[in-house]
Amino acid sequence: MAKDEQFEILLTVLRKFQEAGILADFMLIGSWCLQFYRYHFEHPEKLPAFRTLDVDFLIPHASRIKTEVNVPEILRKEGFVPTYNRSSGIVKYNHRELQVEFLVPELGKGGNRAREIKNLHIKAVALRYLNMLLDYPLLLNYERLLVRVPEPAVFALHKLIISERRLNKEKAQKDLETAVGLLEFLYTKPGEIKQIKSILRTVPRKWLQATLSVSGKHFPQLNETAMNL
Amino acid sequence: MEGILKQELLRLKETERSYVREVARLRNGSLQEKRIKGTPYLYLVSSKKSKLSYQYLGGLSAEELKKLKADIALRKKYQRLLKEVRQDIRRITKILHGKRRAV
Repeated sequence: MAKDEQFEILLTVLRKFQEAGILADFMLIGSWCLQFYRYHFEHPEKLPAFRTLDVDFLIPHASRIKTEVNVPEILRKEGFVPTYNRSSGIVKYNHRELQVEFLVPELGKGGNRAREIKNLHIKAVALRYLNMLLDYPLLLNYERLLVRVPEPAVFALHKLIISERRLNKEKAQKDLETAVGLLEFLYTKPGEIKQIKSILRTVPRKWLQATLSVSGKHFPQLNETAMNL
Repeated sequence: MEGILKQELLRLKETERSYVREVARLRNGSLQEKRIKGTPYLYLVSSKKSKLSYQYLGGLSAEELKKLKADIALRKKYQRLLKEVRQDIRRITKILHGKRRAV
């Protein structure tokens, strides 16, 4: 299957979510955001083009969703099959070309169990550091689809943090390359540098330390920016 | 690179199992319309132990018939995807084995 066909499948899923009135409840995170950033920045050459099979949807306010929509049924109709992990309770939706997963920000102590979102008939995985993405949303109008993604600057900083926490070395390396590639591009845009500064000013101290410890080794320019806040 | 391929292989095998499970869950067969004296009659044609069986669907309500049609269409879609997934599994296995032999 051609690469563009992969993107077409994702767009179909997004269209179905929009028709069902739930696209506004989701934020698309993960490497597929880069595809939308390319569109946002009018297809620059320097923007990294990594993308994986994983399509991650972050659900910011699961408890506020009042509409009942059978999300697994929507995905089934598009050829996705639910794949269950019995020990953790996590359900992923697999397709030959893609894998859809739902995430929620982890609150408090957290835990390994999946969180059920009854109105959407899905289970979402709770992960740390997702709140920072929610604080900087970017709404894009792509082919009449209103897609919510994190701002590129916060996306890059988040990738830096999680690259250190990944157990899978290959994924960690990919995260790091994406983050550094995106930061290199963003540093050519004064408006984005300003945004990076504003994010660095507001992130919790521990998160800032986590970010700077990685960037110190791989993108020292960010540490200089943090010094001159 | 090998690690990525191994991971993708695992994911594809997981996907294959899920497709097999879903195909088994969905209704087998396909719809066939027979015209007898100009009147259309709808049958569900399926094979059991290499014999074709015809089940007359006259007793189904419009809603049930719609669901049956949707199930059959979905099963066919899953079967097509299952075939493609199995091709991918073979392709990746071949690449991984080839690599091991070369080393």
